[in-house]
Amino acid sequence: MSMNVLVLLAGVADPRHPLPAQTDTHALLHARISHPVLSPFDEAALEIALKLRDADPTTEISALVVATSEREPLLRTAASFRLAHTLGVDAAGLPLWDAAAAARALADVVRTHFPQPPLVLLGREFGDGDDGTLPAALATALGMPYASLALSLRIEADRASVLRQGAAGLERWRLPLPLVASITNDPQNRLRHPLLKNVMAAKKMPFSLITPPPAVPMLRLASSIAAAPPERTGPCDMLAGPPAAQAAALARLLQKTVSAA
Amino acid sequence: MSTSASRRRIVVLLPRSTPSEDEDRLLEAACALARGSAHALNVIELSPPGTPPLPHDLPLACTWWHAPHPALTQPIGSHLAQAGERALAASGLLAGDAPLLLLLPPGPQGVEVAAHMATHLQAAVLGGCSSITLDDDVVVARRAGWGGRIAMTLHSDQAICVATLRTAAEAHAGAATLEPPSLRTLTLDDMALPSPEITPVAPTDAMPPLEGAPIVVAGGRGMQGEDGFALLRSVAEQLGASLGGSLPTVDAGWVPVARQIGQSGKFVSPRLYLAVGISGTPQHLAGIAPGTPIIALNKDPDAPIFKVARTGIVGDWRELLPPLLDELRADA
Repeated sequence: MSMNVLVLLAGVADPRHPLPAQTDTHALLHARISHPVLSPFDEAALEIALKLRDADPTTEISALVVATSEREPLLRTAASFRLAHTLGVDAAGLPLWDAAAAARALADVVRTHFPQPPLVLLGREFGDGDDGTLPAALATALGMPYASLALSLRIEADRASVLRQGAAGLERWRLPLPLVASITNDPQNRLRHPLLKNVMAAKKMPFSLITPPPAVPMLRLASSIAAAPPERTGPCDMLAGPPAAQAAALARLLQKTVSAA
Repeated sequence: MSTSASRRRIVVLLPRSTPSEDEDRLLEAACALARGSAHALNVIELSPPGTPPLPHDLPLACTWWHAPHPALTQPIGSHLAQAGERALAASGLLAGDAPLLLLLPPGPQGVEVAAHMATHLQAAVLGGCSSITLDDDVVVARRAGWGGRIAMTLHSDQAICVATLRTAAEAHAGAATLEPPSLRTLTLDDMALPSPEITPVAPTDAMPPLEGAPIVVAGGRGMQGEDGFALLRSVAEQLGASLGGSLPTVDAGWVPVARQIGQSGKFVSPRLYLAVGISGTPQHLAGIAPGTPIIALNKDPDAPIFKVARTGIVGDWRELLPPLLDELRADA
């Protein structure tokens, strides 16, 4: 019997491009539209799903992609990995800074379009919120067990074996399916390149955009402004000279701190 | 902004409390919020059975609820969340019509427990906040987004708001007259919770952990590979320091994810932070305590790291680190 894996992909505004000078919600959404990329955590979740399909070719992967339109490039990026289904969910209906509300809306979409997926994977941070709240909130909203910070995951009969980063170090969890797992970045989880024929096929695919049920807001985004760099006191004292002199001065500074510690 | 006391009750939940600077700062921030509230501060400490409570003396009256439970032997987020909900109910803190602000320590465990509890309690979850104030009963929270490039201000008037809080302020233990809290023990109902089978994986990394390290030596994308990090590791070993890396270096496999520093990784507050080949993105700087002096080594004189560093060296780490290592070894 084939296994169904659902991957949720949020995407982020490409950090290589500056954000607009105006940083209201509309402008930030526009920045996301102009330069969307999968985050390292999105990529890790998708790669884990692909590894599960490598291990068992009957595995079916579906992706639910937070998108701003049916033409969102991230829909094609996901589809270029020959997924069973790639659906968009309208970003305008998902206030990702309001994780509880967004998780409930996403859970409703999952229940409607992907009933009872045994395994739901998503990045440890979902979207541009810089926050790990949504994956755990989604698991609770779906009523499914949750494993966070997974570096790798394999299926053993009807159980998942998850290597995760615990508070005291790495640990392996074995637990029955169904399961929601949040995936962290790891060199083993770097997203592979899609095959060219699948990229070409994805270019011709039509995509649809699901409108999530209206989220009942729990928070109001009162303002969003460009973050000021952390406040530091005093100018930077530059150590000049040839490398040997710089190294000697640096060694003295470091040893002074070691002695004081 | 109102000057009258807020009706919002401040409750701190400590899942498996461990003495730490984060916990001290959280309690200090909670005390400041409780001073503007009509209610006394409450702290709930969850712990495995047989663990004594670790109440802190605080600058105001506080009830410290100790809630031991067998299900808390393993630090599983969903178990801690259920125990937290039961402790809130058993302590009577959910009764009455006072809105509630529940604060948890920062970090992945606090974030997960906050998310589970907020969803169960139909509460607002504010995420990982850098500051929280009260405007009457409205919670005003600030937190970062867009890779640390945007500062968001969020407002919520929900009956229950849940947040993790890491303030930039230094803890000022001893600055005020402290009093011991009123200690109460809660007996929680049985919780039949499914547990995963958990097997610790033997560590392959012998370096000291980032948490509590007096010196952190960290590398960025500019290290260009594992060889560079091997050199950094030697410098760290010579100093008795911990080793960290930026997000791209973890993605590249040069350091494990447990050593990732930044908005998406660990927050460190050492006495000294040596940043080598790190440009200084907001994402990375968000993981370094503002009071920590930074020494930056970067070959790009315009790298943003020099705007926040106390000491800077413009140079190539390939030319600097070998003689630095020689100097440190010679003086060992």
